[in-house]
Amino acid sequence: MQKILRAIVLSLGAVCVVAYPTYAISGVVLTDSQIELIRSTCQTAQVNLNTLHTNDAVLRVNLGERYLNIARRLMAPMNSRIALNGLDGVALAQTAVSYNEGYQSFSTAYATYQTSLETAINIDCRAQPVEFYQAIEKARADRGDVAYVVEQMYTLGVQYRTQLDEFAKNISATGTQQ
Amino acid sequence: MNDKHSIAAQLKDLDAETLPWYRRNLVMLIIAAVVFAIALTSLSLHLYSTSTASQLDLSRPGYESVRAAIEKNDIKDFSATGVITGETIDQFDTLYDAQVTKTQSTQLSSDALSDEALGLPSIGN
Repeated sequence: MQKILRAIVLSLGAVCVVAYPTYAISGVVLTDSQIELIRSTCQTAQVNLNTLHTNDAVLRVNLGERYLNIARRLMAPMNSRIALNGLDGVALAQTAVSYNEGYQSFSTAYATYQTSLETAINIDCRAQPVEFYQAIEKARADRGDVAYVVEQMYTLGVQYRTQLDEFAKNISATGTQQ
Repeated sequence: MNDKHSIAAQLKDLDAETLPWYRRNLVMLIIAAVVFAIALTSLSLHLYSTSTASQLDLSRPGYESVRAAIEKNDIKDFSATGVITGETIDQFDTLYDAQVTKTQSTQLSSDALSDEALGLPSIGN
């Protein structure tokens, strides 16, 4: 009986030693074999991260430029023109303010994402594979935040357009159109 | 000869007493100028890297291949003055739609950082 118990305890111990996950990263469990795989492939991943970093920089510049163009060269003059004509453009002005605030959020979110990506690129991934994977997970989350802000900005842009259509209908209906 | 030496020595003593330190000690002046320049350069580099300016600067090395992808700023300004008519709103809509459509970016998909895209073993996604 004692032999059977000893065998069971030893077997359970062996299972725990072999199968026990080494690290857990934000819900993802890394085993020793996965860590080894990361270690062996991480340098290729860093090259890919570097390419993504470069391409995203262009995306940041182009998107930022478009947002500023919309806010400063289209929304702001239109709101001024509405105000100068003594018409009610409060809703449009509010959306324009939200749009400007959204641009600041975009800038901040992108800066955070960029920092996360640079951390993953600069880490010694062969020596620190777990930290490297953690940095990638962080970059994924931060990229998601940037994507969310970009989506919000588009929604605000469409909202302004809808409000302008409504405004156009109102001025033509009330005959305040000059 | 001795007189000449003594006059020169007297002039040197006079300089030492009347001239400010930076005229008496040129070497110190140069060192101070170099230290000041290094401090200002370090400060400006720090500001450059900590602000978002560095992210917008694609003239840095490593970005040569993507510079051509930067879009030209070809938007026409909408006038802030004048009457508002259906025609002006239509003009605005044309300019506006062209810009807003471009902000619908699908290039920020999460796939770009997936294990597969990075060449890593499939672990978390």
